[in-house]
Amino acid sequence: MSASASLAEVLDREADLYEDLLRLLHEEEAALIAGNTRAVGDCLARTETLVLQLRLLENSRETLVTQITGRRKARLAEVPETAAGSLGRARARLETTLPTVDVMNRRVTALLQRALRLFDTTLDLIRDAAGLNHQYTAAGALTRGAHSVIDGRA
Amino acid sequence: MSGLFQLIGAGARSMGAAQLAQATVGNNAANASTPGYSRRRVNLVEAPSVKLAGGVFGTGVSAASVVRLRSAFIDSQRRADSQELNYSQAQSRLLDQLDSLLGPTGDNGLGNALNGLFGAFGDLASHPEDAAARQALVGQGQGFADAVRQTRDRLDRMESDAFDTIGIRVAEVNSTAQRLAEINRQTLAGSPDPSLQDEQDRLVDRLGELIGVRATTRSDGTVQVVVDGTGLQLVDGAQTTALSVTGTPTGGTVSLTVGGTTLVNPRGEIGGLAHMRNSSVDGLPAAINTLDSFASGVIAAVNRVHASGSGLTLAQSVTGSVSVANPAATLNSAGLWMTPTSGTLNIGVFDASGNFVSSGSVAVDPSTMSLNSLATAIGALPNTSASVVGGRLVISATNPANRIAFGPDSSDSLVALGVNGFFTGTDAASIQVSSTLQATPDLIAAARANFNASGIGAGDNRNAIALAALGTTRFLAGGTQTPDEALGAFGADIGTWARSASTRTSTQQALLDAADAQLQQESGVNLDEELADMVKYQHAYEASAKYISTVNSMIDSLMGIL
Repeated sequence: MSASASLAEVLDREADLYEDLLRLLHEEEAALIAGNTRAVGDCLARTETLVLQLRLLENSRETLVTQITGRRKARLAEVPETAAGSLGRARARLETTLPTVDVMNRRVTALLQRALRLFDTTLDLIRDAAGLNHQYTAAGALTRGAHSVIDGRA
Repeated sequence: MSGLFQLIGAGARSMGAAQLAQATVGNNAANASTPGYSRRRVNLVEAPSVKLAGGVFGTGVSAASVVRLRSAFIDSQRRADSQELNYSQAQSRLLDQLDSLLGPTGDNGLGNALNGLFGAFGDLASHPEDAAARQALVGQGQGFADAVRQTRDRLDRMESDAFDTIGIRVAEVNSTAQRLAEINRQTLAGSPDPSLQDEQDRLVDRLGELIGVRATTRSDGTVQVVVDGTGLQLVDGAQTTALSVTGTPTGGTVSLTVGGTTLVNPRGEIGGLAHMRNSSVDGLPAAINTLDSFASGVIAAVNRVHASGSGLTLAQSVTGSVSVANPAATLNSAGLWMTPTSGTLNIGVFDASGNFVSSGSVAVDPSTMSLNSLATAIGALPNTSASVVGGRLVISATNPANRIAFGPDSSDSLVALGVNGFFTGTDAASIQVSSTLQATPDLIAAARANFNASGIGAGDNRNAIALAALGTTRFLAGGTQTPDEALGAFGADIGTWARSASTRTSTQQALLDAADAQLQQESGVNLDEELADMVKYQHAYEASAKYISTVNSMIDSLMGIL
């Protein structure tokens, strides 16, 4: 198999995985909106797997592009097309899928950041109620720490 | 390829483990105030490494199990302390009631009534012919008898309440044991569940509080429970053996059995109640026996003096208040509440104007003489007749116009048979002022009849003085205590029992508090600690979430070369 054909195969597999990722991001978006943390965690774990697979394919792609063009960052347009035209088809698939994945990824990122902020706020509340704001009395009993008061205001 | 998949799965495994740990922390925090909840931890273990061309790669962590942080040793110690505390508390509650009833800190109703009785005897001695003094004596006598009976009634009710409570607690033991057996069955059917294990511990704790138990957790997760100090199993796997209680609400002893075997010295609340219900040393039977002895002693002493005296008027016929089931039985085997001794009984007859008619004496030998033969001997005296009616001795003047009077009775036959007594009844439960005297206070024997021409002297108060003197005479406890001293000693004993139980309770409470503190340290939820764990897992969560941004950069990179 020629290097171009191998590259086309790698691009095809990347397109498959990005389509999988798109489906996963839709699931994750629904889970985040529903507040289903278990489902979100499950999606994150599957995302992690996909990312690892994509990273391996990215390494393979860069190796093949370097091998074909002599430059690691060369554009795919510079790679000779295969006899069967598989490289062009793979590129076309990616050009269709990636923008959608990009948009979806940003939406999920926004939702995830908001969920993490909620997580932070909850932790702050627990800290305030049961954690760092507690003090010990001279007798050893645990008591709620008083807020600082200056000029009658907390 | 399998190595590659393992490598890819590393992140997912780690994320799952972190999520489980976070959920566990959340559960711990949510149950910080749940009684009996044991802190849990996720056991994280390193997942096996994989060998790839580039070297050996770790594959993250995975959650091996969720375990409860609980120490069997501390549990066992805590249960031992708890069952002893409940044992002492059960006693202490009843003894506090007794103390308020009879102890030095109580209302002293009985002591006041006793003083009122002997004060009234003194008043009668001062005014033997005063009808008001006689009526007041009847009132004070009845007040004393009422106070004694009410005290005895309270003690009976305490016995009955203790018996009822034992029954309720025994039922709770059996239902708790059945619930534990059900959990054992569920445990055998599935994998160990921390919630079920907590429930197991709570149920075993409760059984310990109730009856005192030792528990053993088997390798299959089931709990075997035996009654502490015995080998008697209450729960073994899915099987239970019932605890039973036998006895009567009052009187007798209460017996606890497991599978037909009697528990000798049960602990826990049931053990404490059973001890109070059964102990003749420092329990309710001891208090009842002491009160009965006190009442019997006062009845005997007062009646002994009263029976040999004479009132302002005399009765033509006198009937004893004590009946015997078999009048043909010798007096010392007839089941009398007190046994007559060998001695002489003196009886006189007077006419309606109080003039002496005749007298005689009967030698009494309780080992050979029955009630029937005593009646025959009395009936043989001049101008006197006697019979046994309904098991009771009836002594009459043969001439209906004449009257009967009693002289000294060294045989105590009159007291034993309840003839011419001030009190009727034989113990704290039955003491009453004679209904005859209540109806006719003039029959109260303040005087002593002379069995000669001088008859009954006007203003004779010799018997009333003797009755009043009983208040300061040591005739109780084998002749070592006055009535007041006997009541004081009784109250002091109860006060000592109550203080002793209270001290034991305080000590056990301190021991239990220490064990609780240890248990809390081991199993309790420390919110600060949980918070720290939560932050730790939050960071893991955030790190994993950063894969999302990695996707962004990869897309950007790919779009750049398309």
